[in-house]
Amino acid sequence: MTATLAAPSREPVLTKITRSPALPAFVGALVIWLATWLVSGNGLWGTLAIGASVATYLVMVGIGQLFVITSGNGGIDLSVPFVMTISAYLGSQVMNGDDGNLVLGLIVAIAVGIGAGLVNALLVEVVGMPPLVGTLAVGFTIQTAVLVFSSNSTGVPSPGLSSFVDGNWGPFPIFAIFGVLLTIVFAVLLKRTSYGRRTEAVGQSATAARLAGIDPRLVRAGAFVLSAALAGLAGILLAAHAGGPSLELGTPFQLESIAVVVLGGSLIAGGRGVVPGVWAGAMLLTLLVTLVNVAHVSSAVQNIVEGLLIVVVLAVARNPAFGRSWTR
Amino acid sequence: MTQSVQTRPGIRAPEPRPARRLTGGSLGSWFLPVVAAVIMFVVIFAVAPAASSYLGLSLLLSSLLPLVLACLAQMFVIAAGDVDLGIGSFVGLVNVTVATILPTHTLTGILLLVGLVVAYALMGMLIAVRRLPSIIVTLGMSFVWLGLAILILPTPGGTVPEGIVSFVDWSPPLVPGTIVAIVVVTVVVALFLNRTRYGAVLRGSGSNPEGIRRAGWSVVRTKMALYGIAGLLGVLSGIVLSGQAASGDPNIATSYVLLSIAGVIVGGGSFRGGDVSPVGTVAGALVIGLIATLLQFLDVPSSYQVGTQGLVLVLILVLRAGVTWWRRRIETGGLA
Repeated sequence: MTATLAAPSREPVLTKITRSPALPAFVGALVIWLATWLVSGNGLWGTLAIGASVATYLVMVGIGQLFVITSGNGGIDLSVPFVMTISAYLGSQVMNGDDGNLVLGLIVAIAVGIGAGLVNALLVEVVGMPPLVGTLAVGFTIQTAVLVFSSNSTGVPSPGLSSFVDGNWGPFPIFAIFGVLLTIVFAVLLKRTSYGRRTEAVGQSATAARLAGIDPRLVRAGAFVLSAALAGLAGILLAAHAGGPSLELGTPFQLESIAVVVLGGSLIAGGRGVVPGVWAGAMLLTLLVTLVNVAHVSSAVQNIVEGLLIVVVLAVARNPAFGRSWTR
Repeated sequence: MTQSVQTRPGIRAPEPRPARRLTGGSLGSWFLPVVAAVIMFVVIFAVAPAASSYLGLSLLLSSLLPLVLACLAQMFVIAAGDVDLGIGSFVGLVNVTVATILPTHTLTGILLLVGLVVAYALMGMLIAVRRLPSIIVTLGMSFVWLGLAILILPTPGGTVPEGIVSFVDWSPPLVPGTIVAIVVVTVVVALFLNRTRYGAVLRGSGSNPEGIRRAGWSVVRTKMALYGIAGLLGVLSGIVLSGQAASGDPNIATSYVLLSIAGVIVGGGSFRGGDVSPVGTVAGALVIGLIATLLQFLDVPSSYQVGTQGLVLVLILVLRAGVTWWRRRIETGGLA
């Protein structure tokens, strides 16, 4: 009797944590962090700081992918790696190693992303192509543009941008803090604003959302634009980190941007996005790559591990909700 | 057109369709792609008359056979209502296996190839049992296939057994061997999928899994069968490709992911599941492959070709969306 009375009316914090769909990703990231620390001898903090810094690129494109996936209708953005690469090239060309052109270069990189996102949205929502085919076709078209453009491209990102992505603020890497802030901003955007709730509502049931006065096509189109814009920004930032653009700059992000969404506990059928899970998933994958590198395992094994990890996490996840009503 | 199973009890027959207009509906979804393929051949022969000779035709088509097989593999996955993003890496893994393991350890190589087909069927089982999104499972597995291929052969090389090379080069009198191969494969797949009972069940499991389940078939098993057949066709594609390339390269077939999907869609298939046409798919594969050949004939630099194929795919899909819209407008207009 007393126990019933004493029971708190709200969900206890511990239950909230253990029930969180993002928990496996956080635990996995923690385990791999400790393993990397043991193998690399880089120090516990150093491993985390570098990991969180490098993971931020993946966090950015992962969040974009999350919005596309969460808005449902089989949404997926396969053009991410190509948008990253072309934004890296065009942004670098505009910056040309000069801090004076930094803002203009960033604007160009994001604008290229927005343009690609608009084409994706047009093909998927107006023409009615499946997102998979539409975004992949756009991606391959962009890839050709990159191949043509890159042959006489000499631009490099400005030093100011490089010090932003690689610099430290006391013991904290600036870019890692940026990644955490970005995660918080988009988590609030998805869960606490009208826009975010519309995105989840459309993903849960486009029909119900439409009856509630939301235009599902507009919401989904917005997600494609957001995803490509974030990919564009991530592309130029990654070029600043790498000291210049390269043809293969975006390649790993096609699978990984989807992987972090899946690992983070978001519903792959749409309707429920977990933004902190994307951050944890990105940490997990990034630290895993570090671990594989310091352990001198070949890139082949790295491919196999990453691929299997995604399939296994999908298979054992608690919500195999694809193709079912999400409430069941 | 939806080809649902109507023969077994337990499935309600669909309502009779309204009479079709002259917009190609009565001709079947394979008709337009076949016309497109014929047009492509005419264009190629006009640009390069030598291509119409026995040797020219043989060279032209032999480069298309692996793509035709890969498109048919993709077709079986699309028939299941899924999409296979791993077929490119898978064909690459088969190629590497044929070029490195098969020459020295024949039995191991054959067992490995059989194992790959089984792996595909198991992948289908996993997708069906856990109701997973095929896009992500096959994308994840594509990295596994690629990783395995690089593990076996880190840099391009190896030698494909002489038997396979000469088998692929088979040139009977009068008709090039590749034409014979394409026709035989098309007829076998088309007869199986459209004229046998299990073929109808397989198609039905993609368009109406609940109906197939109620009719007493296991949906898990049909998906395993569809993926298993896709794996088998993928292995065949890899073997033929190896015979032509004569060496191994893990990345030899990465373009097949987009091209195979394009072939099926151009061939009149749709992502709804169960709605595919083998004849159309082969024609679609030929169209897609011939576009690449034509670009080569026209001296388009190879760096433009991937993008051009992407653009052509977009164009064809936009065109088809337009035709569908137009047809629907005429139909509803006729009914009103």
